[in-house]
Order: sequence, then structure tokens, then C-alpha cells
Amino acid sequence: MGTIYFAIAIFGLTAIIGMYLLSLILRDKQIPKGAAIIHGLFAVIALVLLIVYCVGNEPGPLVSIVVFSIAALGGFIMGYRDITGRKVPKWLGVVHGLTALVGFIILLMFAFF
Amino acid sequence: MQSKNNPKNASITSGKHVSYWTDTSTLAEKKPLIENLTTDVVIVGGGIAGLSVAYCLALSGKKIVLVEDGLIGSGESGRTTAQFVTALDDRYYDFEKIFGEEKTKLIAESHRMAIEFAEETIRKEKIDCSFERVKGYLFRHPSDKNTLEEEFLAAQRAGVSVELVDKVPGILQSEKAICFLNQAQFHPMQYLQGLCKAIEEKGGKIFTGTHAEKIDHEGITTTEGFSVKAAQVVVATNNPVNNLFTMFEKQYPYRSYVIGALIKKGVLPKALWWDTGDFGSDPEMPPYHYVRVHPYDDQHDILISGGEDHRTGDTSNTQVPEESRYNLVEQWTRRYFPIGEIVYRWSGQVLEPMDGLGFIGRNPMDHDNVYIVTGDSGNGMTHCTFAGLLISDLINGRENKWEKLYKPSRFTFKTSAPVFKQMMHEFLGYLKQMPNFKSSEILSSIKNGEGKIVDMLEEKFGVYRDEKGSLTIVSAECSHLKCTLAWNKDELSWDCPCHGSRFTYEGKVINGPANFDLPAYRETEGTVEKK
Repeated sequence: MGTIYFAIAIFGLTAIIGMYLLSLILRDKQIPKGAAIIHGLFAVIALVLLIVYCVGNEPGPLVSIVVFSIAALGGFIMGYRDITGRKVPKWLGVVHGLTALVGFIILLMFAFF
Repeated sequence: MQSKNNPKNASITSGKHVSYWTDTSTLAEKKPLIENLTTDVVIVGGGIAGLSVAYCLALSGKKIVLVEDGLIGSGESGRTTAQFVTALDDRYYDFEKIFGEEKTKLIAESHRMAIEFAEETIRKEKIDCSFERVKGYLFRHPSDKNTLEEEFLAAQRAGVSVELVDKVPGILQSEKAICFLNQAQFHPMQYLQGLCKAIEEKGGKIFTGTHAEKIDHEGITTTEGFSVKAAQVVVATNNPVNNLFTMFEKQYPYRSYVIGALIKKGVLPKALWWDTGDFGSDPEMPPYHYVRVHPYDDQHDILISGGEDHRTGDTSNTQVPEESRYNLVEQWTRRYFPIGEIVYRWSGQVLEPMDGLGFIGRNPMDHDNVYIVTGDSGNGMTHCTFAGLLISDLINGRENKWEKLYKPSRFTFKTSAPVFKQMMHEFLGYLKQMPNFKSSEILSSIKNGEGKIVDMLEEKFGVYRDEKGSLTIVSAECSHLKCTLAWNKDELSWDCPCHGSRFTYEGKVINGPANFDLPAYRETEGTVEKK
């Protein structure tokens, strides 16, 4: 379970950076790419940890993995739109954040209940 | 005649400094596109690449429309030193290692053909551009252990006409050198104007002051909303503005510095001179010096000397800022040539391809009818002239033995290290973009003549205060792929260290791959708001 707790901690950090980035999107500000890259990297690391856990343990947090993957796809789309000069839709930022939040709650339920 | 150093020169050239060529040309008025057109081929870019392609296609009977967002030659073609050469930027022994002997012969042949074609065009179209055949001398830079012998043998194997000489004519220090026969020099702006006339006489249409905002396989749409529909599309903007990703890991932007110095008429023979490059500064891509002579007035010639290259937006290799590089060029030049007063200074930009060879052909991962010309290295004049021949053959469905060699989609694994270095360079650049919650500057602290990146309101802005105190504020994010720009104090421009996009201090795009201006802001009550 140590892997799961570690993943939860990294997802937590990811969420803190993510909330700041979302606030920038909602205020139509430039997205600092360094912060976005670190946010994305943390998310990927945490997701990989969940997958690694699944390989060695049953049951695994499969639903959480799927939900986080959908959130990651949204994140990738936002990043692509941002660097190619297109506006990042506010609704996409909110949906991405909420999807990740749902994934996080499911993961917490898996870890502690 | 003195250089017109005026920031407003960005309307006629891509920087504050005006080159000798632009200064000694009669520039036509802008002629924007004001109607929708349909044609065989639309060409974006009014420099030597675009005009060479247009001319060759017009010769073959194709209907041509060419659009240029500035004036003819207002990009890098007007800031060249205008040499037609088979003495290439990258050494023939390097080409042999990368491509093999047979392909290196093809490379040499393509450049020789280009010079012959230009000469024939000038004769046939009666273009008065001071074209003349000259010899070129490649001599050793003091940091060079001894590459001359190796280069001589490789050039011979490639079929280049070369001789070894014990002394270089004209230079103050006695040096052995490779003499490259049958090189050439010319006045580029006069050549371009001659090409324009020839193209229009053959039915081609040329529009300047016309920005192609949207470019795809169907044609272009201008900022004003006019369209040119075409069966074939050629993007010849030095750095392709229609290509987001596939080229930019494979070529790297460098700035180069040129001085024009008076020299007594007749002191120097008509020739070209190059050194082998400063291996101390950059052993992988040693920046070299290049020199030519052009008539100036009754008593003087003008010696045009360049070098001191550095990665665009990054002068950290020698810690010498842009505006001081002319002094280094002057110091080097005075060591070898008896020059007098410096009357011109200007800088230009080149793209160094990963394997030393330019990219001419179909745009990668695009429709088959979209073509690009880029990666000119320091041989833009010759390379772009050759592009006219190659692109014309491709569009006309004629077989061309250089198609595979120059194709933009190639990836040369032997020289792939720079690709990963470039990716790391971009990654680290992005990583440095971190939020700064405390504004580090207030706008009133920026002095007259100063430009810098400023953190304000959790965003980065490019701010320049001119000599009269007037403030200009733009976004500091490149409109290509959002790298943070760097201030070029020499040319008063915002330069992208990632891929070479450049913008005037007012945010107008002057170099690709960016194709859009920077958002502009105004100062209001101590803060900024979008204009």
C-alpha cells in the first residue's frame, strides 16, 4: 500500500499546481510552461505508480487509473492548444480538474475504505 | 552613404540596421493583394528562394502568384553577403562522413548548377546586378589544427574545382589556402528586382505588403481575408511558417554579424575569402568569417566582412552581447585586411540543418502539393537558387536526382545528437517559465533605450522604452510555440531562442516560424491592459 500512499501524495502536489494553473486559465493569463510541465510530470509519475501497483497486486485501483487517464488526455489537449497559440477553453480546464478530482476521490476510497 | 539606423527600418528590413544592399536599392512601393485569385502555384516569401522558385516555374509555363508580407528582399535575402559558392559552410569531408562520397558529389554538383543557372538567368534576362565570377580562398583559422588538406582532398573527390595555394591574395598575413575556382558574387537586391521583372513579364503576379495568415494545401488566405487558391503551394519564408513541429528539431537558428568597411580601390583583388572557423568557440559548428569586396565610389571599394555567429537569443557561448559582436568582426577583419572606416553594420540569421544540408521539397506530414525551402545554413544564395530548379521539377512531375537527398522529411541518424540537444534546449527553456508572484520590475524603472523581459501580474512581458521615452509592451511568449523571447538590443527585436522567430519591438513578426504578431499591451495606472 506504500506505493498507493505515495501516489496519493504526488497526486496531491499535482492538484495544488493544477488549481493554480486553472486559476490562470479562468483569468485568461499566460500559462507558465514550467509549472505545467511539472504538473504533468507529477501526474504521469503518480499514474505510473498506480499501474505498477496493479501489476503486482489484486485488486488494483483500475477505475481510478481509467479516470486519471481521461483527465490526462484532457491535460494533453490543453497543453497542445496552449503552445500552438489557441485559447484553452475554460470549460475544458474545469472538466479536466473535476475529472482528476473524481479519480482522486476514487483512489482515496480504494486506499482507505 | 551611411546606414539609416532608424528603428522604423523594420518596415523595409528585418531589423534596426539596414544592409548595404538595401541602402543602395530603389525599393518599390508595397503592392498588396486586394482580390481573390486562382492560380497554378502560390508562393509565400519574396526573397531569393521564393523568387527563384517563381522564376523557374514561370519559365516552365506555370501561372504564379507570389506573396510577401514586407518588401522584396526585406527578409534575410537583403541581409546576406551575397556569394554564390561551391565552397560550402559545412566541409566536404564532413559531408562524406554523413552522406558518403557519391552523394557528396551530388551536393557539389547541385551548387555548381545553381551558380551556372543564376549566371545564365542574369545574362538572359539582362539583370544588372554586378554579377562576376571570382575565386574564393579558404584559409586556416588560428584555432584550426589543420583541416585544409583533408578538405582539399574531399572537395577534389566531390568534383569541385580547387587548387592549393601557398599565399592568399590580398590578405595581410601569409596563409596557405584552398582556392575554389568559379565562385561568384553579386548585388542581391538588384538581382531580386531583376527576377521580379522577369517573373512579371512571364505573367507571374507578385504582391508585397501581403501577409499569408492561413496556408494549407488549397492555397493561402491573407490577413485582409483575400484568398489565393492554388494547385500547388510553396512556402519559402526562410523558416517555414506553415510547419509547427516537423522541421524545428532538425535545424537551429544562428545570428551572424556583418560590417561594411571602406578600402582603397584596387588594393584587393575581386575574390571571396573565408577562414575555417573558430574551433575554440564551438568545435562542432565553428563560426567562421566570410569576406567579399564590392565597388563603392570612385576612390573606394567596400569590404563586406561577417562572422561571430551565435545561437539566436543566446550569446552565452562567448558572453559577448549582440551589439558588441561587430567589434569582434572588425578586429578579425583588421588582422587580415587594410580596411578604413566602418560605414555599415547589420546582422542576419541563418538556419543550420542537423546534417549540414538544406531542406527542399515536400513539407513533411502534409499534403503532397505543399513544398518548403529551408535550412540554408550560410549558403542561402546558392541553395535557394537551386531550390528553384528542384521545386520546379517536383511540381512539373519531372524526375530529379536530388529529390531524395534534399527532402525535408529525411532524418540523418548519424547527426541526430543535435536533435536531442535541441529538444533538451526547448525543454529547459519551458521549464524556466515559472510563475513569479512578486513583480520584479515597475515600468517606470525601465530606462530610455532599454528593453527587457518583465514579470508583472503573474505574466511575462517584453518591454522596450525608446530613446524618446515612449514605452512599448508586448507578450514575451513567442507566437510560434510559446518559448520566452529574448531582447536583441542590437536590432531592437524580440528573438526566440528556441526556433528563431523574431519580432519588432512593437511585436510585428519579421522572421518565421511564427506567423502572428505578439499581443500588444498599454500601460494604464501602473498596470497593463491588452490593446
